[in-house]
Amino acid sequence: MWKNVKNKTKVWFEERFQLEEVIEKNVTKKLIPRGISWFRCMGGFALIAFLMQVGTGIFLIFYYVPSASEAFNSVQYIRHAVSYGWLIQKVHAVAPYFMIVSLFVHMFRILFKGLYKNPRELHWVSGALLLVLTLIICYTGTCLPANSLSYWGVSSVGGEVAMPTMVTDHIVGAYNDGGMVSSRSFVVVYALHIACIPIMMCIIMGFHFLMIRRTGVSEPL
Amino acid sequence: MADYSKGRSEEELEAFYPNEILRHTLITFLFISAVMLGVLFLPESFQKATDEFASFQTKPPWFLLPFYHLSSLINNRVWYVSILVIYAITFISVPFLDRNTERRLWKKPIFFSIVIINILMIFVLGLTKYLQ
Repeated sequence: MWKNVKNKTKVWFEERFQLEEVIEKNVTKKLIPRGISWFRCMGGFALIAFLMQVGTGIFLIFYYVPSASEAFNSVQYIRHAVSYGWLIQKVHAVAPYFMIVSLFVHMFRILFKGLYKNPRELHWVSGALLLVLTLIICYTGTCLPANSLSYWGVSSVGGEVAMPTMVTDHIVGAYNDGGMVSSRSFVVVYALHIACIPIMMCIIMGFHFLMIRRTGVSEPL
Repeated sequence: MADYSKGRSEEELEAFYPNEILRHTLITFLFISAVMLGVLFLPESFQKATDEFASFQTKPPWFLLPFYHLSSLINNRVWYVSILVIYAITFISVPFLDRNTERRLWKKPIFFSIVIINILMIFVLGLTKYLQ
């Protein structure tokens, strides 16, 4: 009976989506060059780290409050009161380190081996854009918890450090104004961190992967 | 879509499924394990932002240090942002700037020197900020 249900479901899906041919062509019958180097996994590592960030970030959205007075307390609530909140928050804070290392190794390998040459120029362009966006999203992420690290990022510590970007200009004023931070500033950084930059990254990633599928991985030197 | 079987003998090819899928799965678990070790052992400062003394003791992530150091060297904010934007555009345009047909970086002395100088510059900027 179970086999019958399974077959009927398979036929139902096959009639509508014709997935069998796609799966055969791209997975089960696909052949790849033997002995691909482990260093080629670095882009994949960055993708895994990005997916971990998206997964843990969705969880954090439910509890984080992007407000000057509540941001720090909401993160403390996640860390101390929510079940496994400490784990999810810490993974969200630590995974970017691994993502950046993977991206740097990936880019250096491509640069040193000249893998961006014709016809793969746009692979490099999309990859470099992703690296820039990753650095920006990491920066906005450090501003959100309103902890000492955020203060370091958005203020001029000892008058030595100027603001790294213009976007958060008004936060500096707010931080310097008796330690009060405007909630509007938090919302701007929050919107960049959870919507604008991730959506841009997803679009560019789709483009990057599509081009890799079209042209294939490069030949060894 | 790319066809790797063209121009290759059977000995030079292997099945994507299950060989490569298995390797991908294995390495994914290794990566997640490394992240979990990071979660356990990497320190994280969590003092409130208004504690100005704490902010002096906290360092930003290592990959942002070069940018912070550069911002402290260039006082004019417009200049600073312009330099970053020009640097990013140059980095993104590398394939269009390097028109040499030679693929290997170490066989192109001028381009190789530029790359090494830039890497060293970023490293030194980050390290000096860290040591301050």
